[in-house]
Amino acid sequence: MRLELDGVEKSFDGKTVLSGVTLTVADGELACLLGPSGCGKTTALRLLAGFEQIDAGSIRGGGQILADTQTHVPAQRRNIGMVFQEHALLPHLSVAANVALGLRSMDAKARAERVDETLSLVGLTAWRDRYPAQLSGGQSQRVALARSLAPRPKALLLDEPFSNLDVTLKEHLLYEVRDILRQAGMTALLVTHDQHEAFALADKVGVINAGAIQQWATPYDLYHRPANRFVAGFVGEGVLLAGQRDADGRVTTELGLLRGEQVGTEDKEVDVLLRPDDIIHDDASPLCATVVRKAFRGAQILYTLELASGARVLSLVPSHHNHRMHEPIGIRLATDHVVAFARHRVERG
Amino acid sequence: MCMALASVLLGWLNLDAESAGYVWGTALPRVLPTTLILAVVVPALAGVLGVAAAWLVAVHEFPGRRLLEALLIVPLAIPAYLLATVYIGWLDYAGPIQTLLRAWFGQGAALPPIRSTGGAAITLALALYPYVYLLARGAFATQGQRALEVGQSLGMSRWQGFWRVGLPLARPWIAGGLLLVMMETLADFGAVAAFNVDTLTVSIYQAWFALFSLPTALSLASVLVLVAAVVAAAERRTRRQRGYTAAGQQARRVHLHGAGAWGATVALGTLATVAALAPITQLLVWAAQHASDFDTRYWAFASHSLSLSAMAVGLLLAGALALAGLQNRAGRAGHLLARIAQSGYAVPGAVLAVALFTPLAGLSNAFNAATPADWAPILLHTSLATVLLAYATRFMTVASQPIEAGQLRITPALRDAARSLGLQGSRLWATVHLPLLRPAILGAALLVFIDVMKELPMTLMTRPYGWDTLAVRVFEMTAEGEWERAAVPGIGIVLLGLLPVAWLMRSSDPSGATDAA
Repeated sequence: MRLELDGVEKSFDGKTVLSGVTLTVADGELACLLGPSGCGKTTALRLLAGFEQIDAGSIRGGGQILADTQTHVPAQRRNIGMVFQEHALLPHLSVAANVALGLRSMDAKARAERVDETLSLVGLTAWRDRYPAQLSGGQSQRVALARSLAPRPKALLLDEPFSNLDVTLKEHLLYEVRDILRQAGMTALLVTHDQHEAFALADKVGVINAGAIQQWATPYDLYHRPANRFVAGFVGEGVLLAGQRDADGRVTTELGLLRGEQVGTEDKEVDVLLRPDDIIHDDASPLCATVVRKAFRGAQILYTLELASGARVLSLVPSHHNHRMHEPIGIRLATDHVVAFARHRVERG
Repeated sequence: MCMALASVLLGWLNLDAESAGYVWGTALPRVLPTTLILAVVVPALAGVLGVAAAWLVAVHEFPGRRLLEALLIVPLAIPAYLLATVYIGWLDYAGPIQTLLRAWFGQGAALPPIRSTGGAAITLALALYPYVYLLARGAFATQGQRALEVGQSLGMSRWQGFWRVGLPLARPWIAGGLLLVMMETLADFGAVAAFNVDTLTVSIYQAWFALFSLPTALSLASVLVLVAAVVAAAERRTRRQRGYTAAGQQARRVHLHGAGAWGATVALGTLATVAALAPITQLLVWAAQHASDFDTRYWAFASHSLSLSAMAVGLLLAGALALAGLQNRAGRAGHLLARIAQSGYAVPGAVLAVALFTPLAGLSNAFNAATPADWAPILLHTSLATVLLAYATRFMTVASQPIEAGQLRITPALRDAARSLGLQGSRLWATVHLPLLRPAILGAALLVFIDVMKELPMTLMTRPYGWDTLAVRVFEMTAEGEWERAAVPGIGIVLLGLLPVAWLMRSSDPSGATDAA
């Protein structure tokens, strides 16, 4: 079911939490709202679920109005499922009974079939008679997912569902959940502060800050074509380096001329975004920078390098190039996109 | 506690054939059915009232919610026997309501008799529902909203969400409250006696005062202990296996509108009026009519009541926390010890007093006989220490139930996290357990304070000479049939009891912190 928010506003006790949020999740799409804590992303989710009422704007599901200034379809009639951060399984019910919670209208046989079907979808058939206290974190998460999928909701909302899980488990579960959702053809909106979750799960990601959507795009575009400084800083690593635009519109920095697709402002004085993969270590290069910090990442080392001007850039280098601290190393530019922001103007996110 | 239990059980050994025939042939067939009916009906009624009120005030918003939330705790300060007097005064054949009905509808108009099992059940339920209300409100305040949301996301209405999610999640708390109500019901003497309803406690008094047979009384008391022990064990069995941790933070209240909002206000307002406001007003009126009774002796009664309650709170909290710690460490043995320590609540106060009185009197006599005649004789059986020992035996459950329920919130992960930071022993308690248990400890302190304030038979029998309390004064008045004059000390108990109730409402208002979400 296609989900649409249009100009949605919400404030609590006079404090604006969401201002003019507009976004669309296409039918069958997996989308994500990504942002720091307190940015309003959970409120957006709760408005969609119907737990809160909007102040202005409208919310549609499959083209039908779910909420606007006159209407408020109650949460239980929206046919939208939700997976909660703390899973919220009922401790006194078995796994099967938890999954059956939303299947009240079915007869006993159909209900049992649907429970089995959903449990096999999440791979927990053997655990149907256990109690939540006997499950691991990943298992309870999958039960929570099964419980919300069992009534065949038209869309699914996930509120930080992976934040209580350890990294290895999370990594594994993320792809599993994505496959389950894909297999079910589910339209889903995930809320998280973790960009790895967002990138792993979502087709489209909305970066949200201070109650407003900063950019709604694919993970690739968020990383390579960030719409503003907030997105550039929040998504991925990188630094901003001062540059000047020449008459031909090309940008030069102290590292030289930047090549690639021009993104962003056409101002003369700009700050350009340089990602760690835009700067390549090359011993043959005449351009040198000093190692001031190194972070070993297994296959790669992330070097923080100081330029002649004192400005710092990042470079991701295969880890067999193991240089010492304070050692000058040769670098060169390898940009595909030139992302420029107007200098000195601090954009408020 | 073990001493008291042993004393109760030894009663069977001293039971002669005639008394045994009375116990099995006359007393038990007559009083056991009534006792069991009350033990089921009172918690059922109190449970419905307490849970419904708690759910309304903890999760919803409606006109007067804050005031009602507080007022609904007030019946805790009114002893059941005082409430019984007020209701009898109103609803008895000669009372104003029946008189009015006859004036309107003729001589045939009558209500069902108030002095009946039904009347006693309703009165006890109105007096005791706050136990369920307090515990359930705490549970609903922290997880009720999330329970509703889980339900709604699965297509349930608010009503279904309450039944299928909210209620089950609050089960450990509600069960704890019901258990308290059931035990209070089993142990109640004053109220059922006022209603002329014969229960086990009444038969114990009769065996004692009419038959002068302590063994008979103790045998009957052991039946009561057995019933309560079965109740407690059954409740615990259902709670095991179901690990519980609080499910997330409270979100916003559901705002009721129109008929729903006013319905909630009127329903809870009626409950608060019937169970607290109107009876207190009536007691005040009666007390004012007999204000000439009031003199300087009352300051002594009040200070005795207060100091005994304060000492009991200190003693019982220390005991309950020690038990909680013991259960954490000592496993099965600790649990068994805790169960034994808590079983005193089911023993009626007077029986417990005698059960302690008998061995302590014997001990004192033996000591006095063994020491030179010019030594001051010791009177172990009538000293403040004995009064406190009796309280400690009887009210340990009151202190430890909320603390045990509160401990369910301290997850193993939390404890382990603190341990991994090098906290152990008393430091672990001081930094993790005590702060997290603080609301539970406050609740326990309040319940103990009020219970001791209201307590009559044990104080009456084991107090040192001259240590009259307000409750003892009420007893002396009612013994003379001066029900309205008993309102003078009675209102004193209610007003003093209101102090900690007011303090509890301010300091541990579960809604205060969550409103801003």
